[in-house]
Amino acid sequence: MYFQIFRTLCAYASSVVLIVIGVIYSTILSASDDTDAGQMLKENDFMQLFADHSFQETYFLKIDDNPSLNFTGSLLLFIAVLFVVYILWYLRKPKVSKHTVTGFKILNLNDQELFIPLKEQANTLEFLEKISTNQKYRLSANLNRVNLTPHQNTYLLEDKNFKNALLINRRRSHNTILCDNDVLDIGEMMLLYCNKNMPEGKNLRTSRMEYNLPIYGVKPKGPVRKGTPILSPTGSQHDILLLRNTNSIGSSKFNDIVIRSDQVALRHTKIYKIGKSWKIQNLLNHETTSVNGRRIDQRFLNDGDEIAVGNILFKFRISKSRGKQVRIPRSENAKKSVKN
Amino acid sequence: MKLISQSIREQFQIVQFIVLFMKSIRILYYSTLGLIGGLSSWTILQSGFHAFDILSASDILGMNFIWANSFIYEGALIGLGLGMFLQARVSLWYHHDLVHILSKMFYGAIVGSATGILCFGLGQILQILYISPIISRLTSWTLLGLLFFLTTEYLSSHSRMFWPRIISGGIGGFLGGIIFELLMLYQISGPEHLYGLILAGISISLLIGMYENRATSFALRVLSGKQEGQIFLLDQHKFTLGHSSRNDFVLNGYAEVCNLHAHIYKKDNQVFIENEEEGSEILVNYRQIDQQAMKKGDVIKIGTALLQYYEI
Repeated sequence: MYFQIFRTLCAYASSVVLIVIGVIYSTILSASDDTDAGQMLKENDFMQLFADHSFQETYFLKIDDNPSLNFTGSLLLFIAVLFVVYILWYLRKPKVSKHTVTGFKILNLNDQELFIPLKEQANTLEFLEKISTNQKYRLSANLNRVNLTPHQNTYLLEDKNFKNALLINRRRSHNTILCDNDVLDIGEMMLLYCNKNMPEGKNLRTSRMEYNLPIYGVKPKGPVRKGTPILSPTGSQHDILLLRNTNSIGSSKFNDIVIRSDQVALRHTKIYKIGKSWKIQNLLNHETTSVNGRRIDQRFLNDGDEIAVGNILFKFRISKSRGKQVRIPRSENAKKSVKN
Repeated sequence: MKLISQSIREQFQIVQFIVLFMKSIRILYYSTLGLIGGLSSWTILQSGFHAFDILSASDILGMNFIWANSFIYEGALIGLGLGMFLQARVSLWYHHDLVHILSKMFYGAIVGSATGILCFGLGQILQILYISPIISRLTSWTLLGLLFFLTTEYLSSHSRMFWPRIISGGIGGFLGGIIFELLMLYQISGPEHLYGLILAGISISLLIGMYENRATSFALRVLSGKQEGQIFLLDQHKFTLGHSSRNDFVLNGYAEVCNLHAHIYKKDNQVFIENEEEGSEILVNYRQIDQQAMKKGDVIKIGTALLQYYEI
């Protein structure tokens, strides 16, 4: 802001300097022309003479003394002009589509306005072949083996093909719950999944309520060193630190983080370090671990991801403070805190 | 996997009607703004002369107003009218906040009046030096076109000087001056040069619009949220993208978008997107990146906003 004002002032100053130079230049010229007359005249008359010489009666654009519009008229016209500009501005307002129904929107540039509403009952993706588009798209084969089943507010997409050409968010997946604004690539066709019933982005929210959750682990006793990953369970204000390179999560007391719950297996998940990043891995096939609402097998974690283990929700974040780390020998603290 | 991505990219080879349509609409929009600028400068001239009459009649300051009644006054008023709308043209096109547009118009008015004084003053000086009035007037119009866009480039802190645009502004001013002179020659320039001013404004903005269309070869389309369907046309070397209205492209109404989120720049016929800060996160094709060259059909995710990139 101040920088811009400074620049404007600079521009102003330079223009003023140039004008002054020009005026001085013209005075020198006129003075040299009228040396004899100038001595005769008084100062006021000299100014008049100089003005007459340099501005030679006519204006630069030769505009008359009596303009055709009066003062109020021209002001009204100016206001009308401003109003026209306002209309021009208003016309450029982006139009948000008002589809309240769930469905697919085609992203291909030639079929902009096309919207495909989805039916309530379960069906396959075969209906995409029957849609009339401006341009013919090559679709991937065996769309009849891709199922779309309603699941709570949204749909579950299951791909039964062994090899497929179906990408969700530019990744292959066989079993996905569709979220709002997911991008599907089916052969040449690009689809955007629209669902206004679902809350935007991450579907699970953290609450400030304090429940006595049966979670035991290393709790921070002061500032945490930068780069240390932290799990903060939803419904509890106590964070849990991941201090070792491999941290296991489960209901058995031999884990680093112990969750006493029926829905958590004895050894459920582990979070381990690869290079500078952290990865989560589901250890049992019949149990689920999900990240950001999606069931995963293994996946790299980002700061701010939401991890669900059984019925417990965690938020994964990486400490950014620069304090000293509390030293706790191995994971003995976790074992002590489990009351047996 | 390669085959799939190949097929995704192939579909973007087709001529993209929407962007072409968008470009032609933009030319129309700009020239309309030029027309409006000419009209407003005319009205400002009218009211300005009345105001001058009142001032000189009352003789408040006890000064001789012959100074004000000359080129300085005219140049300032014409520059004010034209500069107000030419400076705010980009913000109007991208539907920025009204407050931001008003501030842009204010800047434009100040800068325009300054440049008007400068250019018409120079023209007057040329006239005093016994150079033919037509040439001196043409020079001042050309300088007006040049200086408008020079100051625009100078004031926008995030993009580098873009000389072709400034030169095309100058050419626009020159053509406008020629039209003005011709109209004056055949005495059809309307009451107090109304048509001449309007046509000069149109020619400046039209030339600028034509140049920007030629330079545009990449575009970003917003797919989701409040600004759905808006198309950002990339016509400079460098852009900023973010939540704050000072950016070239504003993403308003999205969660997790920083004030200044990303840079987009052209380098060796490729368009790169780059993180501005450590905290800002950009996903290209759902993979987090710090800096990457973009390809046709890429989907970019910034906060909750989803953008699609394509070439024309």
